[in-house]
Amino acid sequence: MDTDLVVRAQHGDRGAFAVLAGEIADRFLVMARKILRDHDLADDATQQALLSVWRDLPQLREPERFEAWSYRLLVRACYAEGRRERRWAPNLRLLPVDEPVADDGLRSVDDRDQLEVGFRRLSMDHRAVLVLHFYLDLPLDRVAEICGIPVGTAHSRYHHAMRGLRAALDADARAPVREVAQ
Amino acid sequence: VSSSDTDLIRVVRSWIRAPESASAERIVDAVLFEVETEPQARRRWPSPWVAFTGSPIPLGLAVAAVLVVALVAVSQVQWTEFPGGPPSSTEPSATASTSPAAVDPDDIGGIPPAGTAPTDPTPGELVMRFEPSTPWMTSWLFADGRLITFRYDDRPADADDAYIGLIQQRLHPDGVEYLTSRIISTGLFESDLALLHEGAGFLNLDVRNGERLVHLGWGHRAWGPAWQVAPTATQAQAQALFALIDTLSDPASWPASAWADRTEVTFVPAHYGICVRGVPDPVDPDRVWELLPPAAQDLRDGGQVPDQSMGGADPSCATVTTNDARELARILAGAGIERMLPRFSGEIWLRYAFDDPDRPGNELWISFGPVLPHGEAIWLGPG
Repeated sequence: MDTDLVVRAQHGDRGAFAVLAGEIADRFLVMARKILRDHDLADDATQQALLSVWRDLPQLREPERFEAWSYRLLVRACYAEGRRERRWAPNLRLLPVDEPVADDGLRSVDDRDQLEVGFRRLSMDHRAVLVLHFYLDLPLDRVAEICGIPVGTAHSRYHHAMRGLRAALDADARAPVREVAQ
Repeated sequence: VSSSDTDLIRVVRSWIRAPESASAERIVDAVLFEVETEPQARRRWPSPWVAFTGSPIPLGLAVAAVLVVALVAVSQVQWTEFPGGPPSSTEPSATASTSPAAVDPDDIGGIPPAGTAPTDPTPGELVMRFEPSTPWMTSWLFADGRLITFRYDDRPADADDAYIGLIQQRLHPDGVEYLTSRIISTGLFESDLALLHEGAGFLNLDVRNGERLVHLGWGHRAWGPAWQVAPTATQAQAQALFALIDTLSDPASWPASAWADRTEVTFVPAHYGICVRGVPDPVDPDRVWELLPPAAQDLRDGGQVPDQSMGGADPSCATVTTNDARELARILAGAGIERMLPRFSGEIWLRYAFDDPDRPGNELWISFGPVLPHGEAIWLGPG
């Protein structure tokens, strides 16, 4: 990231901010979609995060750390949108269905479906840790820094999330399931 | 252990990194339109004070005025956050803003029902704590033979209503000696040790060796700076640790003479740790308690309990009896505070959350963790 651009935007240069926003927006949107699993919420989170970048840029003390700082704002925006979703989402539970277990050729498709179900059951903080770690390839200490949490908490969230996803996959291996709204 | 964890990581990484094309052009346009009229947040003196008087207000007066306004605002805001509204000053605090009748007292998951006696309220000395990545479990062994175990999604068929995810068995003193000496004999527990795991699993294992509890962590570079310099476990060390995991996670393999009573009984704690934290920003626990209904504050007796697993930046846990924990849950629910629900079928935990009135975007969490015989509050849900 061009630090001069960040500094100019910090000082209110709207043109510099436009370039900055253009450079980070696509990645913000992809990350928000991966965390929130909902395109509309991801659009809103991305918009809110970009606005926060503009508003809060003067508070950023170290312009060279812009990237990590901006991810934190995005994760925060995802929390906010996710909270909105949590309050409106139907209560979901899994019911076994009487369908044959998919053959090996379809196993990867099944896995993706079960990962989707398992991932949606994770809280936003757990989703954020996984996306930052796997999508951005960041070690957990960097993830902790972005999320503003201790490294130990990042570990605990990572392992809890992975165990949750394993549980989703294992559940699929035991019996096919379908998700129903109550 | 290692291969299945590695497979899981590979599958999850591949799924999360699946290519996705997204154009945020329309969003950027909308943002730039808003930015045209949106000021940046700059630190500055509160100019309205200056403008109003034509000269700066004396600092002491300004601070006092701000405090008065803040106190009035907080006294209104903290209560209007909840549907119960502010308590009437003429009403006893115990009934203010709560409607326990609306809450089913027998339906507070994570706390045994009223009338359940604690399993064994006597304190105990922890001699072993075992947490492998696979299987998903944690066990705590005490010097008096009590063995408390959590196994994810493995509710005993005959579990009673008091089941909160923990079962207790009892080892014979010889059994305690058998397990601890088995661990210590690996030679890896002379002092705290961090070893790098070449696979994807992990192990946290504490064992009492002499006067102290010695910790071994077998983990990954990604765990942080301390792990960047940790040595990789040798093949012999890894084999010894895998063998320990196999033994400790399979009580059926322990000799019959190790047991005083193999029967699994529900562990009912005598106390709970009530741990508060801000998410994502840390908060002063006192401030969170002050936001709760007075009847809830009355249950905080000032006792503190250590916590190693609540996952917060600086978790602060007040200790309360199990009866008071149940009452607190009823008060929070009655005040309309949202209960966060476990999302996986095998999870049993209790946590309430509400928006931080003083910090938009921050959420305040109140987690209930059972206290084990050695005095630690544990958390079996997401961090």
